[in-house]
Parts: sequence; structure tokens; C-alpha cells
Amino acid sequence: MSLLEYAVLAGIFYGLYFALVGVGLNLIFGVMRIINLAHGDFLILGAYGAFYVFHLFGWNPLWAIPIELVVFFGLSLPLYYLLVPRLQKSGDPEMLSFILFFGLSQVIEALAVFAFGNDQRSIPASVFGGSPVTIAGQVYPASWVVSAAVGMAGITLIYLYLYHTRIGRATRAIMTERSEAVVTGISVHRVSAVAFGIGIATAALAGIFSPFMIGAIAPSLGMGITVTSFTIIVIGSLGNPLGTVLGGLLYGEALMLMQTFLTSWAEMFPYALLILVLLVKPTGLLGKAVRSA
Amino acid sequence: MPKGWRSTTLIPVITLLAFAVLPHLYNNQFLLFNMMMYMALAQGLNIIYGYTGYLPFGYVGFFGAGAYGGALAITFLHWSPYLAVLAGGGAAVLLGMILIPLFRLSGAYFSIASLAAAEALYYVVANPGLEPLTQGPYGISLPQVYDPNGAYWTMLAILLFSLIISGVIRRSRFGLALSAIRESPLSASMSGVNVVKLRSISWLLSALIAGLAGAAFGWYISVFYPETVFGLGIGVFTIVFVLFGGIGTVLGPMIGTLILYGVYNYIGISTPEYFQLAYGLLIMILVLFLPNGLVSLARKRGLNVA
Amino acid sequence: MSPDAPILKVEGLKKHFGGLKALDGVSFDIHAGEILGLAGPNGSGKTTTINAITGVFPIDGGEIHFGGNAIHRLPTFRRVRHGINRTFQVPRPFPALTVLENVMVAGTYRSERKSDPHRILEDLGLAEHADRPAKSLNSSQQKMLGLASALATSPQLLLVDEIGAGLNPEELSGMAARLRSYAAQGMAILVVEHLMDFLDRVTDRLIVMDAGNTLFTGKLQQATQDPRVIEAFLGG
Repeated sequence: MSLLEYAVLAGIFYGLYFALVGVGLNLIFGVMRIINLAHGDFLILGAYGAFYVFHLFGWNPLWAIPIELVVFFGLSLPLYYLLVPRLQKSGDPEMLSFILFFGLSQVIEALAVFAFGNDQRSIPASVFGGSPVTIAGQVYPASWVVSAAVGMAGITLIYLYLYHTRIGRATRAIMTERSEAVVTGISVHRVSAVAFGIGIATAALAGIFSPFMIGAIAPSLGMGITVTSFTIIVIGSLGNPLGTVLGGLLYGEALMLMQTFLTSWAEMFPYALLILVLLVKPTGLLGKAVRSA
Repeated sequence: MPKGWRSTTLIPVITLLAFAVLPHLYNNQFLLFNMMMYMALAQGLNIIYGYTGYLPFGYVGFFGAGAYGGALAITFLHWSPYLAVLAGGGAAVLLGMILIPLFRLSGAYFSIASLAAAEALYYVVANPGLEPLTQGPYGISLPQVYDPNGAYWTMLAILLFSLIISGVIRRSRFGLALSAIRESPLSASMSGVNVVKLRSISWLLSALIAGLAGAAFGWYISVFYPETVFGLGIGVFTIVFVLFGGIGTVLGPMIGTLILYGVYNYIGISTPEYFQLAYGLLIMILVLFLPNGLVSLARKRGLNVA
Repeated sequence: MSPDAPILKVEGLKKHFGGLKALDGVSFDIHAGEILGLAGPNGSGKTTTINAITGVFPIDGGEIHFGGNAIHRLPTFRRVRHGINRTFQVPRPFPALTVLENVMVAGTYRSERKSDPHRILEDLGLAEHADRPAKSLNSSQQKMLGLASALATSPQLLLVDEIGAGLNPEELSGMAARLRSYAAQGMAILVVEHLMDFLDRVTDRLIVMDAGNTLFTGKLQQATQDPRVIEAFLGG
């Protein structure tokens, strides 16, 4: 069938996956008003996890999912208490978080070079079964379909967490009105720490599939992925985790169409799109109008 | 002379003497050149970040625009390199004007948008489709004007220019109004400050300095690629130098650059990953424990810092 | 402009936030040397009126004339340079700047009517704090600093938002006398206030607002007998 149909469907797979890439960054911003500039580096660490699960143990990378969710969630909690409370006492947490987490991203990149070297790593796409999947007359790699399915599952779980658990409701209360949440006796640090852990664990989860969806793994790729994630969540609207789905889908579609029809400009596209959205509607497509002083 | 103005004059004079004499004592001219370049960039960034509180994470975009603006003026218009450096400054100012709408964004949005703008410009310049104009990914080569000494003295002039601008801003009503904007844009306009105009002026000054520095850098090395002059590292180095020394002062960014760029040359070039680790940790410690930089330590001891 | 024309003329001012009509056709005027009080229950639109006159946000309808010129499309800093200023209910100084610097920022921009920051600080009892950062002042000192910054732009119209709240009786009398003396020098003053006693002491005329409308204009003594005003304050 037509190239256009192929690109549009591919965009949906990519979109669902990219929603997962961005959602953790958005959750952390929404709850803590800090920008985790090391987001992409956590994603890359997740990718290395999948790589070693596959190459050392010969396991399917899907086994990395439970392991990494536990490990990354567990490690983020002490990290939260080490960094965030102190940061929020400073004069301008949003701006300084930007620099603090840039520092963290440098540390992670350097440690990743020590641990994993500078060589690019990859996982053969055939791990999910060799045969491609045929949908609506178009043929797609099985890894795309698996990544999209995991992306959808991840977002669904975050939705259930936010809307159908007690701590999730407290999380939303903090996102809407932090100062009032404090007054009503919600333990802001406990709720925030959990959100921080979920944000980083989902980044690692997305990382497991990045060898198939984004490309070879290398320590230095984190920053680019952070900017991509930022594009996605700004399109959807910052601080609204579920808006990330819309952002992911629009981003996925636009990326696939660019790569299909305007290949040489595809690399600059996320950046141009980000600026465009920020200038036209700074609050994102789903954002509420805010009054500026 | 009032106390403040004395140090404002002293800093450029000492800088001039130091960088005029140092090439005779120390033979690594490129290191000295880079040191001056980062000092100028630190002053330029300080004008927009230190005084108005807007942090352009993609500050390197102006540097790259300057490098390419200067190179194109030499290649296509056959300008002398000195004029081409001015053209580079002009290119950066032009880019700054195009980006003025970004000031509708606040805080982190502004930072990220400026980063995206720098990256977008990088991919435009590096695009193979623009090879006839920019040489695309194959880079620029300017053998016809190669003259490291000329470029060295030009960079010194740019550094002095940035120091004088920065010092005058710090001591003037213009600088006071910029600080007011940083503290509260609404109260500033209630004091009669034209927030949009003043912010734009400091943005364009900041862009001009980076553009001049970029063009002089391109001239000095005379062979470069898009990633050489648009590398995010240049902008991030600059931010950390300013932060380390102390934002909103003239002396802070100078000391920050001197120490950190010195350390970088000591361990950073031979073992980059150790440097990256130390550097990352340093940034984190700074933000958490010394958000106002080294000069804030001096100030606590009652010293008047320019 | 004839000498007895009002210095500020507000006509049919409208402002809504989403579905809420914060101002629904407010009209009034003030003459030079006059102190006009603005009272009304919380949310009746008093501070919104001040914000509209100073241009904190664009209005959705109506006109504002100052000294004969339409100013409702000008940005805030232009209105300030024309001679309008205000204080904030919660003071908004430049926290890291010193007290003197706070006032100096404001003193820069009205070339035809230069003010002397030192004298203003002296008058308001802040001179001894001139070199302290504004954030180190207590809340009533911050209120005085807010007034000092407003005065530094030499306003012909001063909008005062709840300046009495939190002041002790002695400070309150001082403030009343101060506003009276500014008016005696020809300044027009709009006083938004909850404290009826304070309004009674300083104002020449009173406007009572409710739900974005003006309910009553006249003398305070008459207002307290007006059934609509009683309804708005006690009914609700």
C-alpha cells in the first residue's frame, strides 16, 4: 500500500513508545516543579541493563522489565532525599534544578563510560521473534509492536496509579495546588519521592526498548533524548502526565512523516517543533491558559 | 573615583596586562586564547543570566552563528578577518532578534527553547542540502586568512569590550533596572522600567559578545566543523564558569573561568571521563551548597566584590 | 482640559476571568487633590480595579482616561511614566536589592518630575535601613517601602491597596495624615480599604462595589444608611 499509510501507522507505534519516553520527565516536573535533565541518561542506563541481560545471561530483554523497575525505583528514593529537599529550599528551585540535574547527567555519563566503555552497543531486533508483523497490509518489525504495547501498558499503569489509588490522588493534589496539599496534611516528601521513583523507573523501562526504537546505545546520547522527551511533554503540556500520550503520538507521527518524506531535515525537526509549540501555545496543546504577570 | 568604579576599571586593566605579557612567558597560545574566549563568553552570558535571570542553555548558538557568519563573510564577501569578526557579531545579533519572542516564556521553558533553537540552527548549518553555502557537515576552511596572532589580539579586544560593557552595566542605572527585572518583572514595570526593551538590549549585547567570540575563534583555528562551534559543551562550560565564580558580578565569572578552565586543561584533556565526573559532581555541590558562587564566600567576609 | 476636569475618568470598565465577571461596567472619576475611597466585600472587584488602571492585565471593555489621554491600551511602565502608581496589598519589593536601590529603580524614569530617594526614605522613616536588603524588612516596613517606591515616580494619581491592614493605631493615624498631606499638595488618591474607620478619616467620597458593579457613590455617612450597601456587606 502507500508510503503514507505506512508512515502513519508507524507513527502510532512510535507515538505510544515515545509517550512512555516522556511520561517520567513530566510526572517529576508536575509534582516537584524540577527538571530532570538527567532523564535521558537514566533511559540509557535502562538500555544498558537490557543489553547485559541479553548478552551476559542470554535472556530475552523483556526480563529486564521487572528487574529494572525494582532497581531503578529503589535507587531513586535515596537520590530524591539527597537532592530534592535541599534544592527546594533554595531561591529558585526550577532554574537551579536545571543545572543540578545537568551535573547529575554528567556524573552518570562519566560513570557509564567507566562501566560500559564508549563503544556503541545494540541488541538484535530478532529477539522478539524473527517474523515481522503484518497490520492493515503493512509489514512492521515485531520489536516496534512490542515497544508500543509496553508503552501503552506503562501509561495505563500510571493512569491507574494517579486516579485509583490513595497516594495517586495525593499526587494529583500536589500537582494542582502544592501549598494547599501541604495544609491538608499530605506528606509531600513521601508522595514526591514515590513520584520521583516512578518517573525514573519509567525512563529506564523505556530505555529497554531504545535499542530498537531510537538506535544504538552509547553513554553520550542522554542529552539528546532528554530534549526529545521535553519536546513530547511540552506538546502535550508540561505537568500533565496524561497529556504526554497526545504529545507522544503527535511527535511519533510527525517524525515518521519527516523521515519518510523529508529525510535530510528529520534531525532538526524535534527542535523546530519544540520552538514552534512553545511560541504558539506555551502551555502545550492540553494546557490551561495561565495568566502571566 | 567612587569605590565601585575603581574595581570596574582595574579588572580590564589587569586583564589587558596579563594577556599581553603571558604569551611571552608561556608558549601554549591556544590555551591562552581559549581562556580569553571563555572569559568573554562568561561575561556575555552574565549580562543576560546574571542580571535578568534568564538562562539561555543554548547560548552556544550565538557562538556558532558568529563563527559561521564570520567565515561566510571571508569566503563569499572576501572581507578582511577583522571586519569578518564584526560580521560574526552581527550574525549573532540577528539571531538574537529572531529569538526575542522566546522571552514570552519563563524560567525553564525559556532555557529549553533556547537550547532547541541552538540545536535547530546546528542541524540547518550541518545539513548536506546547504553545502554550497555552509559546506554542510564537511566544515569550513579558511587558509587564506590564517593568522593566530591577529586572532589572539582580536580576542583580547573582545574580552576587554565584554569586561567594560559588563562593568558599566553593573554600576549604572541600566544594571539596576535589569536587577529589578530579575527580582520581579511586575514591580519593575510598576517602577516605570520598560521591561521588554531593557531585556532585549541585554539579550542582544549578550548575543553580540558570543558572536564576536565565535567569529574570532573560527578565524584562529581556521578549520572547523558544525559540531566544533555548536557543541553544547561550550555553552555549558560557560554556564558553570559563571555559576562557580558568582553570577551578577564582573569578577566572579573571571575567577570561575580561570580556575575551572585551568583545571580542565590539567586533567580534562588527558582523561576526559575523570574530568566529566569531577565536573558533574562539582556542579551538583555548587548548586546545593554554594548557589551564589565563590564571590559569595568573599562577600560573607565583608569584602566588597566588583 | 479644563481645570475642574477629573484627572482620572473610568468608564464602563469590564474584566472577566473565565466565566467570572470581575468587573462589570465600573465607572467613576477622581479629581486632583481628592481622596476617593473604594470599599466592598471580598471579591467585589476592588483590587481588580487597581490592576486594570495600572495595566497589570488588559481590560475586556470600557475606557480609562488620565489627564485627558486614553491610557487603557498602554503598557504598565508608560502609565507609570504618565504619573500613575500604586501600592500592593502584599508588598512586592525587589528582595535582594537594598532599600535605597528599590527606591532608586523607581526614581529613574520621570525626568520632568525628579524625586529624591533619600528624602522619600527620610519622610517614611526608612532612612536608617537604606543599605539593608529589602527582604530583611518586617512587613509594615515593607509596606512603607512599597509606598516609597510608588512616590519615587512622582505620581499624580496614587492607588493604595489595603495599606492600613496590619498597621497599629498609631501607624494608622500617621498614614491617614500622610495621605491627607499628599492630597493637599494636589495628588489624587484612590484608597481601597476594609477598615471603615480609616476610610472615614481620609476620604472625601466613597464608592461601594459589589460583584463587579458600583453600588453606591457619595459620602461615607450616607453609605452606611443605604439599604443596598447594608445588604451587600451583611446579607450575601
